[in-house]
Amino acid sequence: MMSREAVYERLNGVFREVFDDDTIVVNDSTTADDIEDWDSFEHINLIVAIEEEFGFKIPMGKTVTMKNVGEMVDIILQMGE
Amino acid sequence: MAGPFSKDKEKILAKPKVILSFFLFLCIVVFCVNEVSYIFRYNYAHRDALIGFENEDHVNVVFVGGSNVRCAIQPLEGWKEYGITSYNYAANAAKFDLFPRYMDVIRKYNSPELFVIDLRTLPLVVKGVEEKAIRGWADCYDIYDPIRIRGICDYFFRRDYDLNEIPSFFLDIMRFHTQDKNLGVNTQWAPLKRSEIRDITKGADDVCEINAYNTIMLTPEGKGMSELQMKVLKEVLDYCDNNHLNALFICTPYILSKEDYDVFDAAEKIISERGYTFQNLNDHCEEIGIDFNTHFCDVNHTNYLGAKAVSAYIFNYLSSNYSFSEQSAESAEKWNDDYSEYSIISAQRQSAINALKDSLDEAKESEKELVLESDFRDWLRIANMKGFSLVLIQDKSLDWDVDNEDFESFLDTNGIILNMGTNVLTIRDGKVRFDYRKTNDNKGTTGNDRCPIDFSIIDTDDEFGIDINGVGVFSSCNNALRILVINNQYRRLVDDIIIENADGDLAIEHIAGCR
Amino acid sequence: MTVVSFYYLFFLAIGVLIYYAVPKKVQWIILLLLSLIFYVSAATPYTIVFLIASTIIAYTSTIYIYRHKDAEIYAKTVSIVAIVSVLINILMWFLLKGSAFWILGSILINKVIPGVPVLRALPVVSALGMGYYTAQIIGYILDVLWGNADAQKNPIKLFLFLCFFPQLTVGPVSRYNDLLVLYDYHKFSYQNICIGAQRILWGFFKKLVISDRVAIIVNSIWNDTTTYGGVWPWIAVFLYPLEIYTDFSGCMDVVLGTSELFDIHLSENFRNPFFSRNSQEFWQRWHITLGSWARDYVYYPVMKSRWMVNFGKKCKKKYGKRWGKFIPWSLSMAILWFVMGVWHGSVHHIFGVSLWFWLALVISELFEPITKKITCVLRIKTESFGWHFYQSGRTYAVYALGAVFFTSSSLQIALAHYRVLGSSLSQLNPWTLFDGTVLNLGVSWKDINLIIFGCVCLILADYLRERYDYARIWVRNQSFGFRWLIWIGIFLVVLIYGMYGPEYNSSTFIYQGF
Repeated sequence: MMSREAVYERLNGVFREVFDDDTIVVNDSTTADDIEDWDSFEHINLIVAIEEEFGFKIPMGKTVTMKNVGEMVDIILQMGE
Repeated sequence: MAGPFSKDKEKILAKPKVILSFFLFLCIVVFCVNEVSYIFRYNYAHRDALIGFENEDHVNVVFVGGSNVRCAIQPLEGWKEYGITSYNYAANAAKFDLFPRYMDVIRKYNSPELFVIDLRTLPLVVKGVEEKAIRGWADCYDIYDPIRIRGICDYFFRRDYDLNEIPSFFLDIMRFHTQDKNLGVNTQWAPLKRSEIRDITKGADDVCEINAYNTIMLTPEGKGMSELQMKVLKEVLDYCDNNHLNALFICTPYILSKEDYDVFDAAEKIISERGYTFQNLNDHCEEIGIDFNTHFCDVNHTNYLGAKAVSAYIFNYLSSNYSFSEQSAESAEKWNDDYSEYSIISAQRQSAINALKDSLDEAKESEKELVLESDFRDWLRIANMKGFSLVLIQDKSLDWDVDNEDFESFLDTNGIILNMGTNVLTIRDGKVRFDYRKTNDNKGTTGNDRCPIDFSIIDTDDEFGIDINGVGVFSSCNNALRILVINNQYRRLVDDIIIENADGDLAIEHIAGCR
Repeated sequence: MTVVSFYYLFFLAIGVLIYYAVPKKVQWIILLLLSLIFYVSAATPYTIVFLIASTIIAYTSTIYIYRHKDAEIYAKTVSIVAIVSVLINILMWFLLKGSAFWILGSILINKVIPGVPVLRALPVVSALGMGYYTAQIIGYILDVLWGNADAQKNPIKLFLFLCFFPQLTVGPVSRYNDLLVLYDYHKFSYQNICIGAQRILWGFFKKLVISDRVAIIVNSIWNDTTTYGGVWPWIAVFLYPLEIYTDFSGCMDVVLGTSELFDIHLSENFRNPFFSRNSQEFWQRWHITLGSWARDYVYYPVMKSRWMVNFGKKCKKKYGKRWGKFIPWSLSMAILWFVMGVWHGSVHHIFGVSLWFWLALVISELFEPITKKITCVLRIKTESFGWHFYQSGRTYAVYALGAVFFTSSSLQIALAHYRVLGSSLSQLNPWTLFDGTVLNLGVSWKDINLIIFGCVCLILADYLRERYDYARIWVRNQSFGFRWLIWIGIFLVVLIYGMYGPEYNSSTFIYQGF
């Protein structure tokens, strides 16, 4: 069982890796508009990277419906149980 | 999914202001479509006469019919001689089944004491759609005019039609909005000022052409009318009955066919059964004084001379058998003014047609004397190609076709102009090359406007020949060109000219008369 | 009946009246009836069997999936059922609409193995809008599989989702969740009628005044490139996007306006595509619904698949981070574009449309770091109007050159067109533009002025749209008289200058038939 902060630590790493930018810090309300390269095509790379990092598959249905990073974290916490 | 405007919906409820503005907008749209339709409409002939009828004061008699009525009846003659006011409410290519709607329009704007209904168009009522027949009348009125809409429905829904044809008849803007070249013409804008449109001649035409015809004594074969024709005739009779109208049925004189005569014969029986009179003027030609040589311009229409004869007869008949109310002093003055304007036009027409008559008489006289080459050319000029057809038979050495230079120069030199009025036909190798229409689709007609000469090409093993009205004329052409001159009225060969080929040039070297 | 026709407007007027007159529960049935009437009059009636078949397959499979998707033991069968039903739909599409492919395939096989017979097309007509509704139904099945949507319990309601009439001929490709409003009660709102009518009018303007006129020019040039050589084929190439844009988006306006009349809001399919800065953005602004459908139901599953992920990892290991991302991306893009090309239904669309635009995307992505460096070094103001104009122009040119494939009906003809373009480079004579040759193409100066006027209106409207979300919002905020002037003005222009009626050839859409 991870805590939310722990999730965010690892998530920041993933974001920095995927978008090649070491200054990224994400929080609950970050959306695709806040990060320059995060478009619908990069989105899937992000998802794949998250799946790798946390070790489980995010279901296809949730991939398209998540609206911001906060939801993403909720899903991660859910799947982690 | 909520739309982008969903927030505003709460603000606008069904306030009276909104409903009002909606209807106002709708009215503006309909007004725009109507006026734009007017401006772009195809300006069919006689539109002014039909619209101008609205601006007439009380008339005693209205003649309802097609273009033959326009050409046969001169209403102002009736005013001059008998004090009867009348009007021709007639459109080109009119069909009998539209007449109840014509009478609706007439009764909307006027209340004539007598309707004179012409039956000429009854035999023409067939299942096919003829655009002119309906548009020539319907396109004079507002698009939302109920009489117009009813007329279009009446016309179409008893005929074979294609669903795609229909919208552009009701909304003719769909057909004519490309007519922007007409916008420069003043008359195109005239219907916007409907109240100013008047037709001085009261719906009559001026036709100053002469074509001579034979009259044929016809007896009916008893075949009668088609079902559709019977139906429309009964409709007209019912209309007169239901609206308690005074009606007289006539048929203007024209060159009848046997089938037409049968239709009138059957119609007469039905009409008299219903208690109306039918005056078939074709049976009274002698009384009227019709001269078949000079009173017609084509098979369907009398010319100005014929119109005077028919008008004199018909108005005499009307004044003897009917009584009409007097015109008020004001109205009489207007009619007198119209008559004086008309009489100027009338005098011009009279002199034009007399001149034409004289030249034709001259041509007929001189045809007897064609001997010299120059005579032929002179004669052609006088004859002006009216009433005569030329059949040119080329032999193999000539290869004249529509665009051929030699042929063009031949025509030029001899003053022959190929158009609908001239009758020139060429034949080569037993096949029709082209006729006056400047096409070469192997079907030939000579003769003018629906009165073709009966000729056929006879093909034998050795040679071919032309047969004109049963008089065989073989035309083995050893020389370059042979010209047959045919008199359209009597449908007989007038002259036979052989032209020889001298060193590659065509020259009228020898003329042989053939009576 | 086509969507841009007099009968359609008449049909709509009556349909709207009935729709708002009936009681709540029955409204969606009215939509169904209207759709059936539209289908029967617009297409061969018996082909509705195919829509019914698709509905039945989707219905049965989604009910099964929905019932069992939460249970672990059924996980495998559920996915198999989903995949099978998707495949059956694709197969139906392939047999009827994709006949070009298997005929070509059989010809090729016949060349190699002469014994195998060459197939001919089935003597069956394909259904109307087969490409569109098949995409929709596949989207629906996958949505249910992935838990994004609840299965529709009423098969007739599902059928309405497939055959909803505004979408039949030209799309947009809608998602099931977006169209749940089909079944709701819609209260009459005067606002909706206004908006819908305005949008339909604007669509008619684009289609009848601009698109059909430009089509005359483009078609005359391509029909006779010997007479119209030199600069003319290039003119045709650069006019064609205008033609297809006004055609397709005009038709889309009519479709969206129609559904607004019924208080149903479909997704936008265009968002000022020629304002885009690069090809990537272009495809997010052009035929948006098809693009997002392909992205969600083709690209994402492919990119997320185990095979692709492993491949990506291998590439990363071998070629480094950048290439490790680039190669799987370009491969998925190729698959996506391949699907899009196939969806358009002809073999040459794959080679032309797909290949060209895939290459354009790949090349622009490859050169991205270089171009970034160049703009930095040259200190080009990337946000300036001039640079934006250059980028839009470049995007337009790329699209125009690729769209030549849409003007041709086969690969040979398309290649012939390109050859003509190439050879005409040597004969460029700009004076032919001004010497009156244009009048031989079948248009007059009046038509050209109208095209220019139409383009000006178009650019104006699209600019307003970019600023205010919808040009109509701007119009609505103007004064009463000015508003009415605009709408009546547009109406009169369409009435007088639209190419409709027996004097013109009937208009057909380029995208109708997919």
